Amino acid sequence: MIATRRDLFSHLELQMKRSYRTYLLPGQADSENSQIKTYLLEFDWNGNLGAQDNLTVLSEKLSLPKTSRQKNSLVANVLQTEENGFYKIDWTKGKSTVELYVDTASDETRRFWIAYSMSPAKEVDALLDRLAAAQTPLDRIWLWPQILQTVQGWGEFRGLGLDYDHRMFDTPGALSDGADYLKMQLWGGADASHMMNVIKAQDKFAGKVVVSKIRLKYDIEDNPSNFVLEEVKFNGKLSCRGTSFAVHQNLVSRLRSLYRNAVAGIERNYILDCSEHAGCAKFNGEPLFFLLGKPIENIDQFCSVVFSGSYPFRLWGLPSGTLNDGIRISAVDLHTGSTIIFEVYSDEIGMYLHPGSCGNTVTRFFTNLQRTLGGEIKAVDNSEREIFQSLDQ
Amino acid sequence: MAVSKGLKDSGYALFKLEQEFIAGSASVTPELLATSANTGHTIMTEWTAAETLTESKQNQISRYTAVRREDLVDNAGITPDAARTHSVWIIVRPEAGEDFAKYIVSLNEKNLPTSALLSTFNQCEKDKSFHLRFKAGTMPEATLHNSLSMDWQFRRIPTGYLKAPINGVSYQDLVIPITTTIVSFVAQNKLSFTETAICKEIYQLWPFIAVPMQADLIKKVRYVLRLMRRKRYIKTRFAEAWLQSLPDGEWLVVIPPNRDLVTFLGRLKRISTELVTLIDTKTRQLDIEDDLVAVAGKEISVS
Repeated sequence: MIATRRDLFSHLELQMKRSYRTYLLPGQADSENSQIKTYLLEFDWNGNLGAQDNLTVLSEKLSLPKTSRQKNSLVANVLQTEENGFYKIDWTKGKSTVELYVDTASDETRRFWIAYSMSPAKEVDALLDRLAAAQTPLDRIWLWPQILQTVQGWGEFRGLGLDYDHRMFDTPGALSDGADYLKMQLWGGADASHMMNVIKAQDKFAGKVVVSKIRLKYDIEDNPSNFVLEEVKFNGKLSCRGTSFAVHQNLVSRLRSLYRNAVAGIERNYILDCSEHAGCAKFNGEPLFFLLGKPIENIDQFCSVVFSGSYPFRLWGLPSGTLNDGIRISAVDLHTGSTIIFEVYSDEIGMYLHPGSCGNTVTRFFTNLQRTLGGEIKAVDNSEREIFQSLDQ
Repeated sequence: MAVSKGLKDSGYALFKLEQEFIAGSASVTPELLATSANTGHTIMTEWTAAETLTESKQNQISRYTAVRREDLVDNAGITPDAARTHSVWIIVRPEAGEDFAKYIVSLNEKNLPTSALLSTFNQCEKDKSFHLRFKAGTMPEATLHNSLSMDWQFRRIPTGYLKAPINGVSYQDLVIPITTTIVSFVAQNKLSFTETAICKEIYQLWPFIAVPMQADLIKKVRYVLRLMRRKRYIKTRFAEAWLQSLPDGEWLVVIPPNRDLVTFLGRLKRISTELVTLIDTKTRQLDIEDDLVAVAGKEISVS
């Protein structure tokens, strides 16, 4: 019976050690199901934080009704454990049940949750993607390539996965070989790292080397026999095996702090706000600009895909003006309902976050922009100072 | 933009947009009134699209140069500490620059209560960049004078600070911002809202917009909302069903049961696009104007 996070940690520690011993046996397949899976998630309480009945809020917000597209509803069964803010949530679909233990309290803002799962990875991933794609306040966290590489620097290199896919922007009906994508997994130590640099140095791959997953060996200096072999994905999913759950938990917590600080920095500096001081309006915040390495070939097609309201961008928008050589889009982030104005040019995208916006929207946009348009995108402020470079520190 | 950053660093803040006030025996309505308690200066801004210096433009500029400190303090409501000195900044097209410059220099030589500074603004045809250039005149506050005496070049004009224009906003200008605001409310599960709530959401500067203009904006928003649900104009099947008018300027969005949100929002997109095209079509404009008379007849209260 898991009643507290302490119980859960003990249980996962045992499971981790057992699966690592099995993994070391000759002939064992490297199955993800045998790994400990942890998900970092973002939840927009939208004024409901501190509500008397959190269970009701959560079960309402994490359930999905039957719609014309989804024939089955999805009901979240939320159970309070003995620890405040720590829930066991399950969703049943047909004969299978997906179960998550969700820690909503250890982050002081209560926005960034840690979810632990012992259910099959495929089912959990599908569930979280469905929830994040629907109009729920739940979102994944979005780790852009540069922050993933920062995390990789915390341990020893054990490999990475590349994922660039431009095909969603192919013009419908146009003659295209549908081959503008590059996916690759390079597992190993220094050799894999060297191979990655060789690929990157080739002009022909410029922009298409987009890191979407990293592997590292992570330990704590004073006891190197306690370690984890950790895989971190762009969508905040961590899978690991190793000898110490505490070391894994340390990495999760460290990553959450890094991400939370990055999001807080975005919200502090880049939300356009207007406040009243002595009867006058004072303006705060400035827009962000994404300088594109590879120009957008068809701006109309790009906008119809990105602002369709669909996953992963989750932005709904309409053209609200023609610029000299671009399009102005009035958009809504369906995750929070905040409004954003975009200026889309072939070589640059301006993003104006209006009040109520969320930093997670920016990381989601930046991450998915790189995954679909290429990795040579820079996010800069009005003075052309790189934004995410400084946030990674 | 660097020019606005310079003004912000000197403590300039927006006081009011389109605020009409009496100065002597006439009235002025600067597009923007900004003040700085740090420098004790108030600036009035007038942006004109006139191609030549007409008599009415001369009168308008004369009215600005006649504004006295007490007009700003007593009639416009500016704090005395922020109006120790004041000036007017006039921006015109380059082709009108010479005539305006001569006139402004001649006014400044008369030592009138308000000194004026003139800039021109245009877009370079060759590289499409935008230029804000000092043309003539002076301002008593040094930081402001130095900042506006420089030439500024912008590769692109930022358009995202405001969701919709304030001055001279058309019905067409409002369709997309209203739709976006409704979608924003729906995404937050707020299915009922007032016309004023929509205005406040579109215009972050709502409290700083003069009351008569607020009333005009509410009226325009009401009118566009009415059009958005009128089967006569909107051919999309659920035109009449998705939005209901409630008493006291309140509206309710009705999402059909089992309707996937993205599908619903797709239909809203079609409604907006149809409406923008419709308002753009001159032949239908007359019908719309008839409806406008009916809407305008209702009293608008600003809260």
